Amino acid sequence: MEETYCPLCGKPNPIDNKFCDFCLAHLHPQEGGSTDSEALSIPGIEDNQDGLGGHESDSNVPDWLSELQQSNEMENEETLDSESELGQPANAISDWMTGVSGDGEATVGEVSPTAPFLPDQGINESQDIPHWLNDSLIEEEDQDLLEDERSGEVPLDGEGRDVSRGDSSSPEISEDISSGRENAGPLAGLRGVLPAEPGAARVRKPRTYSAKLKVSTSQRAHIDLLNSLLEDEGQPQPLPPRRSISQQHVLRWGIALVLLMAILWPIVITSHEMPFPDYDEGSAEVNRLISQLPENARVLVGFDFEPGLAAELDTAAAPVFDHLLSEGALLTLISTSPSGPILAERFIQSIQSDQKLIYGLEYVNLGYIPGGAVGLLSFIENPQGTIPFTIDGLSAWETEDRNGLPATAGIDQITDYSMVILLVDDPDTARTWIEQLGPTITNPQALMSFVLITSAQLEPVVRPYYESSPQPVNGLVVGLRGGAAYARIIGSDDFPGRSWDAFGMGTFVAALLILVGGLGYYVIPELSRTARDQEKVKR
Amino acid sequence: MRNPVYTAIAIGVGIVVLLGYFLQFDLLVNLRIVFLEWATILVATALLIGVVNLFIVHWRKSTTDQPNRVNSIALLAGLTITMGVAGWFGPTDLYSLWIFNYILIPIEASLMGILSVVLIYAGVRLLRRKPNLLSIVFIATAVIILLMTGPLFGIDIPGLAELRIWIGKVPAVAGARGILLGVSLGIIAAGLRILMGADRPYGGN
Repeated sequence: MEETYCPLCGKPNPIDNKFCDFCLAHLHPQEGGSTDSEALSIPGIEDNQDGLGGHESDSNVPDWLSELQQSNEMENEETLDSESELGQPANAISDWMTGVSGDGEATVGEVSPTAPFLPDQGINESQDIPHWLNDSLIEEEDQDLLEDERSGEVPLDGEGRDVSRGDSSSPEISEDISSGRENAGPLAGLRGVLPAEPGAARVRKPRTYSAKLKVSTSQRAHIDLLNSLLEDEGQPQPLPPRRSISQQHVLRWGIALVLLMAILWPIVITSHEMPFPDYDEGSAEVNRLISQLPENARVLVGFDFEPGLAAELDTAAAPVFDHLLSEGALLTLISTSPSGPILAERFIQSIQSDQKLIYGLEYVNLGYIPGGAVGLLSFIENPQGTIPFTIDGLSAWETEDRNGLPATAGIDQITDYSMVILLVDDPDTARTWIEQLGPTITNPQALMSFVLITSAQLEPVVRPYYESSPQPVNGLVVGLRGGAAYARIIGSDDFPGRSWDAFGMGTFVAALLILVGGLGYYVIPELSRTARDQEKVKR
Repeated sequence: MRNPVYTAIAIGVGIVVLLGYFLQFDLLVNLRIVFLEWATILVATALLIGVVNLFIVHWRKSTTDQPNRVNSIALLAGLTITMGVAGWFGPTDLYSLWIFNYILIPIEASLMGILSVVLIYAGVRLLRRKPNLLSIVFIATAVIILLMTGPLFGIDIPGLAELRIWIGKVPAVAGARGILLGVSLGIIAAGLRILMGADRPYGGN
């Protein structure tokens, strides 16, 4: 069975159908052409229209209506003539409708959207508009547009759009709207009315657009550059070759060699050339305190320094302990550092060749006090309860149920010691000892003194305590210089002159290296820069 | 929620120890001594626990395939040997002293020697990197202290020895006293915060 497709809804219908079964639209355009209103008209309504104004039913029209119709036809005769000139199918429109809407083309040149109503006033551009108004109110550009529209030449842009209307819609729609006019219904004669079924009857093939990206030459160049950058980012860049021997390496090794030679030289030649310092106030005060100790005085010695500074502190403390043991002092060794007890034992071993100390009788090692400041305070408050045994597990103190060691005999509290000597290299440790022991030392009733033997780096930290009043620190031996001064005071020849000479040579060369090297490192580049500047000026 | 028991114990103990300094009552003094002994025992126990934990951690590292496991093995070997020697022969025995004299002290002394070279190198480069007035003052002070701390071949430069003493007694001591005062104030503030419960390093949020 043959079928035809509805131009409105696109659904299939039998070919014999005049109207679509689905939307009731005309399936076949009538011969001689028809207006859109007819093609899209609904049969029932069309019948009514025919009944009202169609020529076929003129016989049924009353006289008064026929006269009215004839008068309308006479009034709109001119309009019908113009439509006939434009090729419009005037006979396809009902007469009464033609009288309402047939004047459209006569007002093509009107810019206003209400142009269809203007011809009713019978306006003639050349006659009714004054010349002065025409020239002054209508600008030149508008006049050009008017002329273009009259001549049917509408200025178009590159894509065929109407430039004069600023229309950005598609050319088809723009053309339909510009030329379309409603021919039926209450909006008949109006221009630019949107159709009731817009574009549905005009099934056209949609415009195809290219899916390919249009890229200009410059854009292509930028794309290539970006691609090359991204590819380079992913590629590992080889590091610049590292020089095995740089200037810094040479300088460091040079400093180390010069310093090593300066220190080794006095040791190798074994000649004592550096004089001991004449006088040191802190060392002299320590000497005075030790000289005033009673016979067999109990002395508490704290070893709180790191093994790395053992050479300096052992050397500085050696003359002090020579003097101390010569006075018959009995030593109690203790430490708040885990490595302190063995450092104390090592120090005692180093002076054994001269003093021949007997363990337990002349000295005792109590070992390590855990807890830092708390442990030290506990020991100061209650020595026997805090450290009841020596490092060897012997009973350290004499009590009712056990015998103690002779070196600690008669010690019940911290004030029973005549002197406390601390070997220290750390400012925090020194401060802890001074703060915990200070109240006891500064107590006028306590006949006890506190002496520090410190590393040279600690002098600024401990000197305020030594110079304050009342003194929590009664004596101060600082570094090798203090030890050498003490050796000179007691007239001891045991102070190692080689160590003193190496120390003196080392400090001298270190100062020289900093001074000369620093100036050379700064002056030489400045001089070379000045020379380059002068050469540039000459050129 | 904060645990009030911890806070009450900490504040109570702190107040008792603090009052023991000011009030010489036998009860307070004895309580303070007891608390201090307990603290010492606790710290010693913590030290033992730390050593055991160190051993366990490095034992795991050495028994599993981890990078730098050789370091863990060396640490375990050193710890075991030292503890064995000191525990068997005693901490003051000649063997223990040998380990100390010929291993520990040379290592630390060599580090101090390297430090001296590095400090001199930094002093040499200081004027190159920051050539300003402070650098010049720093370098001049270091040179004066170094020269006058040593014997300087018996050469007496007029005024230099006095300058060294002045630097050591006035600017250096002034700076050190400032640091000590700051430290003391900080300790007082921290102690008060703990006593008031504002700071709780013992836990309880």
